[in-house]
Amino acid sequence: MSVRNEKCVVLKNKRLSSDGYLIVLGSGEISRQTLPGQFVEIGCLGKDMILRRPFSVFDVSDNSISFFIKVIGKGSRWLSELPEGYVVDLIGPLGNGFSLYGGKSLLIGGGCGIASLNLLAERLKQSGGKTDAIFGFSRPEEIPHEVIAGFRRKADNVVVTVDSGDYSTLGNVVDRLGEVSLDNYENFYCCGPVRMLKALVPQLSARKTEVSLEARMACGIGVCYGCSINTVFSIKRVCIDGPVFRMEEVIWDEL
Amino acid sequence: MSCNLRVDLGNIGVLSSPVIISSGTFGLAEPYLDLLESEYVGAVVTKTVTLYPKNGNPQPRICEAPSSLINSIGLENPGVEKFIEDYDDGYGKLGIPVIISISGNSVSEFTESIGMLNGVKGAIAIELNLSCPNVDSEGLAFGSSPERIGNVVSECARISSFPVIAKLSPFQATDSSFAISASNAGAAAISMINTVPAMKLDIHNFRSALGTLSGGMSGPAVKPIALKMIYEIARSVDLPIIGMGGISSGENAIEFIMAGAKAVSIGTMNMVDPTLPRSIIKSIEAFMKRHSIREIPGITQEFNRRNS
Repeated sequence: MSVRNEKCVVLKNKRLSSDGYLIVLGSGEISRQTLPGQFVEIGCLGKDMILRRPFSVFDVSDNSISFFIKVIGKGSRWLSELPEGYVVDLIGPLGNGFSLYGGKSLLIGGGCGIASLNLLAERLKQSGGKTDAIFGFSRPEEIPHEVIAGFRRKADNVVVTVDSGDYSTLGNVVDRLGEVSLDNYENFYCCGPVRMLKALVPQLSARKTEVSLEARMACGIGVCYGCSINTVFSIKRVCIDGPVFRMEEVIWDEL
Repeated sequence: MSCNLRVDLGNIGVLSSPVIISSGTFGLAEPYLDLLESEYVGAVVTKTVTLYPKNGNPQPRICEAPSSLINSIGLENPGVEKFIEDYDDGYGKLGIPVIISISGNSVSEFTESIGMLNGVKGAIAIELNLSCPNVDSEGLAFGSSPERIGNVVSECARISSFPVIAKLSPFQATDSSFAISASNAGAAAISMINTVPAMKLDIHNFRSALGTLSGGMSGPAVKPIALKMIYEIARSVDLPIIGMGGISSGENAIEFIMAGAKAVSIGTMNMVDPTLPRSIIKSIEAFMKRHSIREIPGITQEFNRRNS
């Protein structure tokens, strides 16, 4: 596998929730190599911006790569406004990605963190494993129903919960996790805000759990050391040693 | 007409291309090979190594400001001994001349590091990082007076089997005294400018946007500042100058050469655009052909001729 620099045409840019967009790009070189949990660096050319932005890969096909992004800052806003036909510059695939084990898995995602779990759910299904999912959002309007419907086709049982608002299931992912029997699962995969990941540590750190971390990156390719974090083993770079780490190796107090 | 893109850096030797990749933007033990178009690169500068390992600064280490990057990496590195251990499998395999960047908390840390690095295969020079503004230690103090720079440069030049490059911060480039002092102390070249001390505040949380109070700024926003400083220093010392500071295009590189740089170095923008060395070379070649200039220094000479 090698890292490529590819120019990709915007094939589709669709708003799926109050602040979530599905962006599909034409890609052959990067898309065919991408593993679940990997990310790419997207050249964002908005006003006064110079740095690429890292985004988890949501889905791939032989000739496309897609992203489910939440508008948070300047880079994601710029991306959310791209018209079809615009050409963006990608570097990828980057990072280690999730480990694929056999057995029953529970996916836990928060907000746009569910993006990096999508390809994983697909691969787990292909390998014949049983998968359940718990996804949390702040408010009902943030739920990307189209994405959730996609997960329901890949996973056995998908629970969606929201912090507040008019919705049938209220509470966060930790509340929902308390309602399932953890012993039913052999593997846990988590991606979402650091606050959510930290809240999961008491229940999951003694189990086989992988977390995908976000970090501010300048390069995304291991050269600038901008995303280094301490782990129980050594200093590691989120971009090249991660973004997926075993939950127990992360020093959560420092994040 | 064929153009000669080689550049003569005096005691350091001749590079096949005027484009160098700056310290801190090319990794450490595992320089990034997949994206590198090495045929366009004259030399690479390693991330700064220090005698002892350094953990670096707390997160966040990176923030973006208008057309610029502010970093506070804090010289994270595994120390010279581990660097040398890993060297053969990384930089040693590049086939591109390597300039090793070092820093230290004392003159003896610099010289001890050099003692260990002497003779490293494929290296052509040692660059002294005398100005990294991120490290809260005497590292900054080395750059605080021309005498101190002269002292560390002369000790390093005496010990080193490689030519020594003095890398100046913008504050050591506001006048020529630091460069002259480095020159008198035996430096083989000057590289400039290092990052500009800068801040960004997180107003919602009443604190720095970085893990440290401030960092070093790089990228296109600093380019005009760097250009003026290089212009002035090039007129004060005879040493070759490796010019850097926000170069993001061939046109930018030509400006630096016109101002007096013998070679140019790209950092921040090379991380963003790995095809930058190629586009700079293509652009310089086209420019030279358009103006019937055969050698890179001809660009500087033509500028000087028209502005004398």
